Amino acid sequence: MNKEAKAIILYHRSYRKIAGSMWDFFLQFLLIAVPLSLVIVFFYPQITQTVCVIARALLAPYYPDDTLRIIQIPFIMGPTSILDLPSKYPSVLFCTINALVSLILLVLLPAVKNAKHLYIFVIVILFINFMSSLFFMFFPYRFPYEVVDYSEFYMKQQINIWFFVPIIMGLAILPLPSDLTSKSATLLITFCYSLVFGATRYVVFLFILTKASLLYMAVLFFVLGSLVDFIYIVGIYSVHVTRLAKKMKGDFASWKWLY
Amino acid sequence: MEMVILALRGYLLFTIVIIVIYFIRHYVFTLNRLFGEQRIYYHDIIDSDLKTISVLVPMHNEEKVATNILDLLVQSDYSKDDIEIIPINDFSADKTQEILDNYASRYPYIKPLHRYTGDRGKPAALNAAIRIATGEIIIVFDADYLPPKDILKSIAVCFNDPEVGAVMGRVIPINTRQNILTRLLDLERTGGYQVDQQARYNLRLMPQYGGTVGGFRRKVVDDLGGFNTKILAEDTELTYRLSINGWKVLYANRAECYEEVPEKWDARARQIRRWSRGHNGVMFRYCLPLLSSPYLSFREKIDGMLLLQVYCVPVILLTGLMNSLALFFLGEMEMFSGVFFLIFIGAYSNFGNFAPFYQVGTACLLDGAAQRILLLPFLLFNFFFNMWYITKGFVDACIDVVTWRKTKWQKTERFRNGANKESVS
Repeated sequence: MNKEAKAIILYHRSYRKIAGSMWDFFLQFLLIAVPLSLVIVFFYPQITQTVCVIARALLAPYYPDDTLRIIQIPFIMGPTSILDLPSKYPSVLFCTINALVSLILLVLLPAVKNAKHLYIFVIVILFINFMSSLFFMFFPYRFPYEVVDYSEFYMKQQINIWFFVPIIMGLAILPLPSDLTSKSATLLITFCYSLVFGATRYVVFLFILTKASLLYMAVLFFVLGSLVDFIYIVGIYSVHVTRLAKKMKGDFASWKWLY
Repeated sequence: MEMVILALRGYLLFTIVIIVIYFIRHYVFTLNRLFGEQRIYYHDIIDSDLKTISVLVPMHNEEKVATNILDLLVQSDYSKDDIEIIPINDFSADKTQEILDNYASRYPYIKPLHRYTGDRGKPAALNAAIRIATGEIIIVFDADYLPPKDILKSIAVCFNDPEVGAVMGRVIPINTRQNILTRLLDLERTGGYQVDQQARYNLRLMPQYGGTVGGFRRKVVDDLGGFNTKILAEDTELTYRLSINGWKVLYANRAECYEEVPEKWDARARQIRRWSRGHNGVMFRYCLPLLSSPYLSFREKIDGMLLLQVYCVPVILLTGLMNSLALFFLGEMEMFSGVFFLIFIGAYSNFGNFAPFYQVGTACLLDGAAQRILLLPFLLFNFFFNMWYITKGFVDACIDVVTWRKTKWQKTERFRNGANKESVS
């Protein structure tokens, strides 16, 4: 028997599993993911204050003096800061144009043969925009929010997102057999990215709502809000796992079989 | 109005509970597949005497693929004394009949069944073939499959265990590189088989017989009345019928077989709508029998129920989205601030029977596949696509139940030999 040849026969993928244990995973989760989430729990007042200061600095050139105010509202473990801006309601003409464009596209899009996966996503956006346009056309006085309400909800939701990003990424990444540094770095990168992305989106959304109108609040909230967050979460996860998969191809010690 | 808001809030809560349950289920499967003891299939008795088998291949206008599968089955290492191959020509209008007759003239163990009367469709075709089959075990392949040489032995061997009623092998797309759709379907299949099915097998829950690359005992199915021709998901129905009658359904991860996945979104839409219609039809019929079966453990019943509901979840999510929209315009946005992110994460992670991102990533890692994992974020678009067409299938199933209308079988379009390539994006 050729022992050397036999020594490099790879296990079949069917019953392959990884070296490592659940206890290691739980320990890593407690030591890496949970502390990042706790950073949000204990420091969100300072973080939201910083986000608001930056947002105000970025938006200031586009608004008259004294219209941008940072206010504080109570939240679970302490006050959270938000930016207060003037609301802009859409005109009837603006609503009608939006409704018509949305409707025409809603009718035309199903005729598209290719890329159905994309157009269904677009249809969801158009449908929400259409509903929002109709609402503002017929019941503008019943729209229950001002920009400051959205600003508050966004910030509260963002605190939740910042809190859950390390948890979600921790659950996904930490069981994998990559080295601890790599896993920690991935979690930290995702966490930092979520902070920067959340702040940037805050500025952009407030700008759209105050300059374009409240009409787009529903679309921004439902389709371009949290949904976008897990695209980058999954994106960063996929990069991490791709690198790991390449590395593990030649790393026999990482694999176990059956037991 | 307060009652309406209360009801809408209640529905949102219900949606969240469903999402959390499926999130936990998929996560447990993923951890089990990574760390748990893997329950091996019956490889250690691979040299035992094997039972006689009848290989059934339902075909409706399959001239593009018929020769491929027959050539491969002829090359199988199963003893030719113990095998018969029954390609079922089910109302074909192309050259399928001619091809089958040609093979029958060359190989005595190929016994085509030509059907041009009675009900059309896979369940009816299988029933007809089961009546003339002589093998103790029935093994089924769809016509577009490419069975490897040793797969018949791999599938048949488990039936030496008298408790086993059916077995399912692993399905792997062969046309993965065609376009983004085939690549995404490959990801879904990888997660669904390498992690989901194997974990359910490991945990002694309810692996699903998938209607192809699998087998079952002829006599048992015959005694149970054959396949119900009114149900489109005859495979799911068989899984439940066997399980509630005390038979075990196994999963053989090592029994890999290549298939052709849809290359066009229209074909995929029809396929998934049909699956949803069929699966939900089974759900309506089997919830109570499953819960009252004396042969299943508590956790098998729980898993069986969750498996039965998988094509309901997208419907719940779509209505949940509409519900959320209504709450938004009613001034209830604040209640989303804490949970909306989790709803989306959960929804995206636990969609139907299609694996969540961490499950797919784990499966690709175990498979040793690297580059394809980068496509994971694109599964988002499948999320909306599946949600829409599965909901349509659910509505179809509801109408089936209410009107007792007869279901019409729709075959998935084939793409082999370069056909339809002009429309591939």
